[in-house]
Amino acid sequence: MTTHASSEQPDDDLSLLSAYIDGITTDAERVALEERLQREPALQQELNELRTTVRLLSDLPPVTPPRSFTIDPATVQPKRWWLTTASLLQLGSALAAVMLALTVTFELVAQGQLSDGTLLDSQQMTMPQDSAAGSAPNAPVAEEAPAEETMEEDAAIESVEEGAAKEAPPMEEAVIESIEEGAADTTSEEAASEPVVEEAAEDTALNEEGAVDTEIQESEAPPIAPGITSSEQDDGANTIIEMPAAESAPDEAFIDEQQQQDADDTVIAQEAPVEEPERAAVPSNTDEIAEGESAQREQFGNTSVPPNPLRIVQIILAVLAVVLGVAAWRVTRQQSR
Amino acid sequence: MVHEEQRLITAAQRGNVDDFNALVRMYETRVYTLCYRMLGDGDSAADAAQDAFISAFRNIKRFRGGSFRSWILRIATNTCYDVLRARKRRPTTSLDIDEDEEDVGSPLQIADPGESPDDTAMRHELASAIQGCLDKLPEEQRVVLVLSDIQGLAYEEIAEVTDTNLGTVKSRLSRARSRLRIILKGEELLPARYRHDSDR
Repeated sequence: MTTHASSEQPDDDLSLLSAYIDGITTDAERVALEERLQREPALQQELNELRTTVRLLSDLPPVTPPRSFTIDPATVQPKRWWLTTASLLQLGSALAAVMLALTVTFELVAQGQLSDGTLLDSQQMTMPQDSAAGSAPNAPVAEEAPAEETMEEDAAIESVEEGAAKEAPPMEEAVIESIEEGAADTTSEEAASEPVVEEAAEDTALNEEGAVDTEIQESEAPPIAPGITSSEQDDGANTIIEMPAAESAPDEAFIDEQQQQDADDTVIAQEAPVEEPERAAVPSNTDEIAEGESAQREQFGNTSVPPNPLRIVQIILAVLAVVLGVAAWRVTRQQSR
Repeated sequence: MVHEEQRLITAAQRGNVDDFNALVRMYETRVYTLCYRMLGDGDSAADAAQDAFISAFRNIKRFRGGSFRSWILRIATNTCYDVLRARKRRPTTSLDIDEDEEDVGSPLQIADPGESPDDTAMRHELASAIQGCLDKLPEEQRVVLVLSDIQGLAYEEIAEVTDTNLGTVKSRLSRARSRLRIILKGEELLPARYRHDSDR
């Protein structure tokens, strides 16, 4: 660049000529240059061409913008952070609500399956009980409960509960007999103690269907065969196993058994020691199974109902949905003022 | 005028777009002219000018006083540098660089009411030819030449716009003029009558 520009004149002369055109030279520089211009025609020619170049540029027609460059406020508006925050909060709230709905749905479906399974278990149990009922001394009572259960199989969960209430009077006799077994081996004062009654009542309230099954199965306890009890998973089955095993189990195990029964059972058990239990019908291997399960129950402590994890999750989700929604609303409201 | 400009600047710094747009209207022709002379075509110049004003609005809080014209022209100059660098990275075959079609993409140029159509056509042709010669100058020299001989800025303000010192401005300007003179002579765009006029 420099060499090209200085092909005819040195850079110093070019700079001096440019300053002379613009009139920014000192008086001494100007006088010295004008003397040289008179002596050097080439320098004068250079000056003339530079002046023409400058004039060409300054004479260029002005250009008009094809459009206005004013700014649309929407294009330069800074990002409103609170809108993003509120959106995220709302999204979180919605997600929590959806999760809550899913868990509730899952729980309802699971409950439906559980109730169906319970009815199925009860149905399976009635089969051997019917055959064993003939050998049991209280066969009429044992047959009565399964018969009513079979009638209830086609009904919904609500009807099961209602049916349980209806069954209560006829079951009392069987319950009395089954509890007599345990009551005969241990002190009736312990079985009938108030705390046990209360806890049994709580268990009954919390496990509505289980309690119904328990009552029903307890009423059938004497004729039950050991093979059936080993396949049972619900509380009612456990009760069936433990009731005959109460003789070999420690007193605490018997208390645990009593806690599985409802308050009516326990109250009835206070009168029980008078009658003789029919333990002879229970095989010896049932005692061993019941012993193990009683120990297991002690280990995990079945005296209190463990909190339902699903319920905790549902509560957390509900709180989260509400809190996030309120936070989003507050952020939007504060910023829109 | 100065007070009004300062009020608009203060309001724009508070985020008032309308007041900033008043500043835009004050300087858009000057900014667009700089962009057009630097970039050589109207569309690129318009885009660069728009980008420069948007950038100016976003950074106006950093304006610490002084000449707003120098500040906005500096932003425009930097925007033009960005465009020119992008062109170097992605060279494209231009369809309107043909010297016979130099009017393509050129901005609206105001005609002199008294001149004949031939004179107007010749003037436009000469203007396009000069713009073609300007495009051949190095960017640093071109911007100084445009700011000085087209925009009429003083050396000090050119130094402010180009973020250089006064000596650099003088040096670049003298070289730019000398180089353009040579280019114009090579293109036979330095008519004898201009030389004749200048000799008087």
